[in-house]
Amino acid sequence: MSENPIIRVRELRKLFPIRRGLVSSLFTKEDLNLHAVDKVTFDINQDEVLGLVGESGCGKTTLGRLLIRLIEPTSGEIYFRDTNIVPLSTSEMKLLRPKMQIIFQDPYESLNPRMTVLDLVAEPLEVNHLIDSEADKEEKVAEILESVRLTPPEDFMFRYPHELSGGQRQRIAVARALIIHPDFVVADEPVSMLDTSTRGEILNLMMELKQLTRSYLFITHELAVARHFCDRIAIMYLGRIMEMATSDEIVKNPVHPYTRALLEATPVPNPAARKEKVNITGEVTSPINPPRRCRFYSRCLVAKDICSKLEPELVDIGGGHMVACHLNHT
Amino acid sequence: MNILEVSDLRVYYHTLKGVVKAVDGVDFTVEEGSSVGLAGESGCGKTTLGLSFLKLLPSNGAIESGALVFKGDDIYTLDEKDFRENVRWNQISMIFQGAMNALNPVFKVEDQIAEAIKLHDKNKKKKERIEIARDLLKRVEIDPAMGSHYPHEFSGGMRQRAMIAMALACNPQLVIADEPTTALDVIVQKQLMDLLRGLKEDMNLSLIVISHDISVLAELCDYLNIMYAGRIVEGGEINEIFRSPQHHYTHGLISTFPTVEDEERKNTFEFIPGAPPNLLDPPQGCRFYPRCQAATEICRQEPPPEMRRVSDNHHVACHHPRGDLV
Repeated sequence: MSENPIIRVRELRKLFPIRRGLVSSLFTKEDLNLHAVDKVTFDINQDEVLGLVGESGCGKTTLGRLLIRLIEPTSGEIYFRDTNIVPLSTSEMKLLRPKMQIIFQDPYESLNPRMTVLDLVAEPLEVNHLIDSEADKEEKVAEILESVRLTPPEDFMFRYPHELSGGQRQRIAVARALIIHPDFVVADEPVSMLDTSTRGEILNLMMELKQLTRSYLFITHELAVARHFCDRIAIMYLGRIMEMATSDEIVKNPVHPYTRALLEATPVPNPAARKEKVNITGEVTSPINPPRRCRFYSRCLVAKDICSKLEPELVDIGGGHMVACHLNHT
Repeated sequence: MNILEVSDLRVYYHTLKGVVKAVDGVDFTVEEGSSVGLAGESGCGKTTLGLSFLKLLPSNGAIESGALVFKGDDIYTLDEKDFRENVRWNQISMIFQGAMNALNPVFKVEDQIAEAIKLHDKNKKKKERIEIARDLLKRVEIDPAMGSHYPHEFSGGMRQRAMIAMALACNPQLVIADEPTTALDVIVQKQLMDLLRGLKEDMNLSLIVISHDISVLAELCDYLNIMYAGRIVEGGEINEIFRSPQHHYTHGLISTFPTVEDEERKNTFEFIPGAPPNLLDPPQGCRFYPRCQAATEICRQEPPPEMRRVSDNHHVACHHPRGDLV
C-alpha cells in the first residue's frame, strides 16, 4: 500500500439529534441521536478508488458528504493531504473546494432543469472564476463534453436536461464534477438510477477519465459493482466500518459475518449457480442511540457473549485487511 | 398444461403526443406450477404487460387486440364485473411494485388484507376475514399480532411481505410479482426470494416475475422472457438462455451484469450503446437495430421474423441470431 493518503479520516462522527415532543421530553432526560457515522477512521490513498458498500441507512451517503464538508461533522478530523478541513472557515474551505467534487446519485434531480447543458457544466468554472470569456467557457465545456462522449458537443450545449436520457444526464453530472480537474471525487451511487445496459458506459467513462482525477470515494450498495470498480472496499453497517480490504480480498476471503452474509445474498446472474437460503436473521436495527455492543450482534448467527458487551475495534489482521469483529482477534 | 396463454397482445396508451404502443404483439405462456421471468429495461412495457393480465390498465391504456386464455377459458371478453368476481385475485393476483407506497398509510395492515378478501369473496364474515389475514401474515413470516399495526410501523421488507400476503388472500393460482425486490437491500431481497420460492412450492402457485434485474430472475425462475421496446425478443428455459443467448440484446443484458464471483477484477464494463427507442415512434425494422452490433440492412428495413425455434424450449426473434449453440 502506498503511504501517501490524499484523505485521512480520524474518529469521524456525525450524530443527527432527534427532536421530540414536549411530553416525551419531560419524562426522559436522555438525548436521542441518530448515529449516522460513528467514530470512523480510514485513509484514501493517492490514485486509489475506495469503495464504500452498505445497505440503505448505514450512513454511507452521510460519510461521503462529510468528507467534502457538505455537512458538518459532530466530532473527528478529516485531513485533505495535510490540512485538517474540519476547523476551516467557509472562505478557507472555498479555496479547497475546486480540489474536491461530488457526483450525485440521481441525475433526474441533481441538474437544474432551467439551465442549459453549457451553463450546467460551466457552473463550477464560473463559481471558481476560472474562465476569462464566453469563448473560453464554450471551449472548455466542449472539451469536457467530448471526453464524456457527448459528441458533437455543439449538439448538446444548448439543450436542457429534460431533452437527455438518464445516461446522458449522468454524463453531464460527471462532466460537471471533473471539468475543474479535482484531486478527489466522491461518487455517490453514480449508476444506481440507470438501466443496467447503460451503467457500464458511465463506469468505463469514469475509469478512462482517471487522467483527470485518480482518487475516488465510490459509494454503492452493490458489491458486484464495487468488486470491479474499486481498489479497496470498506463495508459499512449502522455507521461503522466492519471490514476493509482490497476488493479481491473482500470477495475471496471475507472475514466479518456481515460481509459474508452480503456476499451470500448478492444474486448471481447464473441460474445454474443458485444459492442456498441466506444465513442471517432480521433486518437492520435502529441507528438511534445504538447500545454499546457490536452493531451486528442482533443479527449475527455466530455471536458470542463478548459481542453483546463490547464494541469491537477495527484492527489489522494482516496485510492491511481490517476487521471489526471479536471473533477474529481475541 | 399451460395455465395462461396470451397471444398477439397489443396494449396501447393514448396520450396527447400520440399512441404509445407499450405492448405490441406479445405471445406469452405460463406452464402450470412454473415460474416465468419477464426481463427488460425501464419503459420496455413489462409492467404494462403484467397489468394487462389483470385488466388493471390506467384509464388511457387499453388492450387493443389479442387473446387472454386462463386455464382454457377466454378471460379477455369477460366484462369487468365477471372479471372481478371470478378472475382477479381469486385466480390471478399481483404483488405490486414499490411496497413502500403500495399500502394505505391510514388503515391497519390486517384490515387492508381483509379488504381484498371482502371485495372478491362476499360470503365471508368480518371475523373470518381478519383470521385469514392473520394466517396469511404468519405464512409470510410476520408475527400475526403485527397485523393490527399500521404500515409506517413496518420495515421495508415487512411491507413487501404484507403485499405478498395480500396477493395470496383469495388463494390465487397465478401470482404476478412486479419488481418484488427492487429498492430493498440485498439481504432482505434474498430473504424475500427464499420466501417466494417456498410459498410457490407450498401453495402450488404459478409465478410471473417482472424485473429489470436478471440476476433476481436467475434465482427465481424456470423460464425467462426478454422484452425490448414492447416486444418479446427471446424466450425459453432459463438455463439455456443464460448458456447460449441468441438475441444480441439478451447477450448484452447478461454480460452487462457484473458479478462478485469473477476471479479477476475487470478493467472495463460491458454496456449496450445508445438508449431504448421512443415507443411513440419505434424504428421500422428490428427495434433493437440502432443499438445492435450485428445489424445489417435487412434489420433496418424489415421487422424481425416471428419467434424462431432454437430448440424445443428456446425461441428468438432476430434476423441474425448469435448461433454458437452449446
